Amino acid sequence: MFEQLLRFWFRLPIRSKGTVVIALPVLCLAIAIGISILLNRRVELAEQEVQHTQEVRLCSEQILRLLIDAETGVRGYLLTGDAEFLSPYYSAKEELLDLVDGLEALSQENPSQLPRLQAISEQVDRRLASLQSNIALLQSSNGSLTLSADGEKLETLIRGKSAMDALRNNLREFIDVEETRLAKRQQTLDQERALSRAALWLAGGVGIVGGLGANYLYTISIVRRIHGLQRNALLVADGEPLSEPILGEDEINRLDQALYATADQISQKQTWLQTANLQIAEAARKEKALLDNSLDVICSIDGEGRFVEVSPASFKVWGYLPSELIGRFYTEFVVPDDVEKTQAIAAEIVAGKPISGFENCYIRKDGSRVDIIWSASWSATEQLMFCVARNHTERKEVERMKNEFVSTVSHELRTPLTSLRGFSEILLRKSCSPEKQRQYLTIIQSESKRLTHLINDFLDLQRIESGRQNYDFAPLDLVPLLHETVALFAGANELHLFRVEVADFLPEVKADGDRIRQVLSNLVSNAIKYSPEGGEVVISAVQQEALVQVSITDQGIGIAPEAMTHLFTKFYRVDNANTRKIGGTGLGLALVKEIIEAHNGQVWVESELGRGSTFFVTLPQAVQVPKTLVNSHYPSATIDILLVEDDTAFTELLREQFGHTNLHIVSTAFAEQALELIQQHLPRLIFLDILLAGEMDGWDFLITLKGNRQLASIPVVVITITEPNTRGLVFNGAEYLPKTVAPELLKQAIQHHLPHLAGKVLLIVDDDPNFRQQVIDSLKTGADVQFVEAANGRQALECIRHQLPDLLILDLLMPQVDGFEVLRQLRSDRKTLTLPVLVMTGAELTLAEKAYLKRGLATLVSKQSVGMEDLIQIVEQTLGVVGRRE
Amino acid sequence: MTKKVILIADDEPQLRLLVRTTLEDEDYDIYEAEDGQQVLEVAAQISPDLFLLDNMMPILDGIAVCKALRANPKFCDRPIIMLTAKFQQRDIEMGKAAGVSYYLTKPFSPLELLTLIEEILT
Repeated sequence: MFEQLLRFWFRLPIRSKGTVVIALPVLCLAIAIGISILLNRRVELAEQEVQHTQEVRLCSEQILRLLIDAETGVRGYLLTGDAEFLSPYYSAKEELLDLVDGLEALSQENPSQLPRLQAISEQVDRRLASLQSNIALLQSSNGSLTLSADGEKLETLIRGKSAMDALRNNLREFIDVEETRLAKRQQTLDQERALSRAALWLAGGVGIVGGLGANYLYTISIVRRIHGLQRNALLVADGEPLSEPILGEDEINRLDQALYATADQISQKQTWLQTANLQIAEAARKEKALLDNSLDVICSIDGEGRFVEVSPASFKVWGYLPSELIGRFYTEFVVPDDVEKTQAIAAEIVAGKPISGFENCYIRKDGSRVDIIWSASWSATEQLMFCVARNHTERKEVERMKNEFVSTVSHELRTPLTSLRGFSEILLRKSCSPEKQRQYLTIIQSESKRLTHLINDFLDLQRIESGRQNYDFAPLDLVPLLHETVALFAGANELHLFRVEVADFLPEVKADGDRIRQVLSNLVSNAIKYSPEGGEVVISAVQQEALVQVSITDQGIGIAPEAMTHLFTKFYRVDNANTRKIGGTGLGLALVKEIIEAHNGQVWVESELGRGSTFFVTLPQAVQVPKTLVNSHYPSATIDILLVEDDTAFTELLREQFGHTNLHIVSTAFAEQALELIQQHLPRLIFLDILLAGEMDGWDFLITLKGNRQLASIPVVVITITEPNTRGLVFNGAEYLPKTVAPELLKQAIQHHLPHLAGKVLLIVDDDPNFRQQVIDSLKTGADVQFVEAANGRQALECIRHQLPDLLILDLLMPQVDGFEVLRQLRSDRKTLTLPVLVMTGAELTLAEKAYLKRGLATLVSKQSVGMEDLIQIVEQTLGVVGRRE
Repeated sequence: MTKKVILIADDEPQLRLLVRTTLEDEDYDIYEAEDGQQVLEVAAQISPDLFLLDNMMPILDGIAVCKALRANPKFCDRPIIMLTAKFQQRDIEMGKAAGVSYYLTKPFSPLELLTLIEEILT
C-alpha cells in the first residue's frame, strides 16, 4: 500500500510534487486556524452569555434597590409629609419601568424565567401603584397626618411591607435561577476555553506533522533523487560505471535516463577509442619493432642536414646511439672525400627527386669506415628527408672476396693448365733429351694432379654446401688414419718433423673415413704449407668425455687474431706476403669445417703470430661407453646455466643469488664461445642477453642455436633491457625476462627449467628390491628426497592414490599389474595426467611399445645403458618434462 | 749484336722453366725472379730489354711492378708482357694504365709467346 503510494508519488511530475509539498503544511495550518477560530467564537459566545446573566442579575438587584429606595422615600413622606422624601420615589418610578423592560428584554432568550419576570413586573407595578395611593392619601389630607389616619397608614405600611417581601422573594428566585445559569455558563466557558487551547496545540501539532511530512516527501522525492542524479552525473564525469537507476517517471528520472544514455554513449565511444588506441598502439609497436629490428638505419634528416630521428640500427652500422646523432649534421660523419657528392645528391633529394642506390662512406665512432648505400626521399609536408642507410661494407667485402675468389680460382686453374699446355706443346714440337722429356712429363703429371685436387676440393665444397654430400658414418679407429696421413706427407717432405701422439686407449669415433682422411690431409697440408721454415708438426688425439679431440700443431707463421674469425670462411685467404707465396684456394678450411660439423663435431684454432698454430677437431665417439663413477664429472663438468652476457654486474648478481646452490654456472660474453661451450657441455638452461661483446649478437646466437636440431631444445631465457620484439618471439624456445627482473622471478625461471630433486617425493616401482635400493642409493645424495617404494603396479597405484609423488620411476615387467597398465591408468586420471614418469626397463621394447610410452608422456631409459651416476641428471630432467604439479 | 736480355718473373718454378725452355733455342740472356721485389732488384742490375711478368706474385704483384718500372726513367719505355690468369676487362684496363705493353692470357701457347717476343725484340 505504502509502496504503491510511493510509486504513485514518484510518478508525479516535480511541479505536482512541489505543489503537494507546499500545500500540505499550508493545509494543515489552515485547518488548525479554522478550528481555532471556530473555538474562539464559541468562547466568545459563552463569555457573552456570562455577561448577559450578570447584567440580568444587576438589573434585578437594581429593581429591588430602587423599590426599597422608593418605599423608604414614601415612608419618610408619610411620616413627615415632607415632599422632599418623595424624590427617590419619583426617580425610582421612572427608572423601574425602564429596568423592568430591560430585564424583560434580557430574559427573552430564557423563556423559563419569563413567567417569573411577569410576576415581578406585576408586583413592581402593584408596589408602585400602592405607593402612589399612599402618596395620594397623604395629599388628600393636605399634607397633615392625623392620628385617625395613622391606623390606616400603618395598615398600608404593613401591607406594603408584605408586598415588598413577596417581590423580594420573587426577585431572589429570579436571581437564583440566573445565578445557576451563570454558574453553568461559566463552566461551559471554561470548557470551551480548554477545548480551544487543546485545539490550538493540536493545530500546531498537525502543522508540524504536515511540515515534517512535506519535508519527508521533499527529501525522498527530490533531494535524495537529485543527490542520486548528482552522483550519477559525477560518475559520468569521472567515466565510472553508474550506480542503480533512479525510480519514477518524472523529470529527475528522465534526466537520469539521459545520463545513462550519455554514459552508454561515452562507454561505447570509449570502447571504440580503446579499440582504436589498441590498433594504433599495435601499429606503433609493429612500426617500432620494424624500426628496432631493421638492420638498416632508418632516419629522417631535416632540410639543413641535421638528424631528426634515427633508428637503433645506427649503433650497429655507425657505432653511434641514435641519441648521439640526433641534432647533429650528417656531414660530420661522412668521410671528407664524400661530403661534396653527398651534399649534391641531398640537394637533388630536397628538390623532390628520390634516390636509391647512392653510395658513400661513413666514419664510425671507432674511426673505422663503413660503406653505406642509401635510399632517400623528401617529404614536403614534413620538410624532412626520409632515408634508409644500409651497411654495404659486408656486401662490398663479399663482392671483393668473390672477385678475388674468381681471380684466385682462375689463377689456380690456369697456372697448372699453362704448364700442361706449354710442356705438352714443347714435347710435341721439339725433340728433347729423354731426361728433359721425363722432367717435362713429371711436371705435366704433378700439375694435372694439382688441377684435379683443386677441382675436387671445389666440387666437394659445392656438394657439401648444397647438402648433397652423403656420409657413410661408421665406427672408425682414428689411430691408423693419423699415421697414414702423416706417412703420406712425411715421405715427400724433408723440411718438417712429424710426430703422432695418441692416448693408449682411444675410443672409436662415429665418422666417414674418407671425409676424415680429407680433413686430416687438409690440416696437415696446411700445417706444412704455413710453416715454410720447417719445424715440428704434431698430430695428437685424446678422449674428451664423449668426444675424441684431434689436434694438429705446427711451428709456422701463425695466424693474426683478426684473421681467426674468418679463417673457416669459404674463399678466405689470409692476405699477406707470406701467404701469397703459399698456394691455395681458400677452400680447404671451409671444407674441413663443413665436414666436421656434419659429423656433429667442431673445429677451431688457437694460434700465435710467428709461433705457430694448433687446429682442433672434435668427433663424437662411436658408441656411448658406459661411464664409470671415477671419470664422471657430474656435476662440475655439466653446465647447469650458461650465461651469455657481457654485463658483468648481472653475472655477479646471478652468481650471488645461486652461488650457494649446486648449480654450475658458466658465463661468457661471446656468442661464439657460448656456442662452443654448448656443443661441449650441453647446458640445461641458457640466459641470453642481446647485446654481446663479439661479432654475433644475441639474435644471431639464437638463430644458430635454434637452427641446430640437437641444441634447439635447450631452454633459452632472453634477458635484456629492451623489450623483446617479434624477432625473438619467433623462437618458441626463448622466454623473456626484463633485465631489471627481481631475483625472485629469476629464481622462478631457474626452478622452472632446472627442477631440483630437493624436497621431492619419488615413487620407485620395481619388483626387484635390489634395483630399488640401487636407485635410492644413487639418488640419495644429501638432498632431502623422500622415497616411496612399490613392488608391483597395484601397490604403485595404491601409493599414488594415497600420496601423489613428484616423479614415478617405473619398471615395465612386473607381476600382477605391469608398467604399461600403470601408465594407462595414470594418464586416464586427470589428477595424474601430468605426473612425470621415468620408465626404467631392462626389456627390449618393440617400436609399438616405445610409441605407447611416448604417447603416455613417459621418459624411457634402458637399465643397461644408463649408469646409476647419471640417474640424478635424468631424474631432474624428467621432473621438468611433463608439466609440473604446482 | 749483343744478346737481348729477358727477365722472367713468376712465383711458380715450373712456369719459369716453361718460358726458359720455350726461349732456350733463341739467342737471349734469360734471368728469373720469384716475386715482384726481386724483379726490381734484378732489373736494376741487368737492365732487361724485355719483362715477362706474372700478374699474381707475392710481395709486389705484376701491376705494382709495372708501375714501379714505368716510374723509373731507365725502364719507362721497355716492353712489358704481362702473363695473367686475369682476363677481365677491368684487369686489362688497370694493366694498360699501369704501363703493360702486351697481355698474354694463361694458358698460353709457347709458340705464341715466342712469336710475340721475337716480334717485340726485332
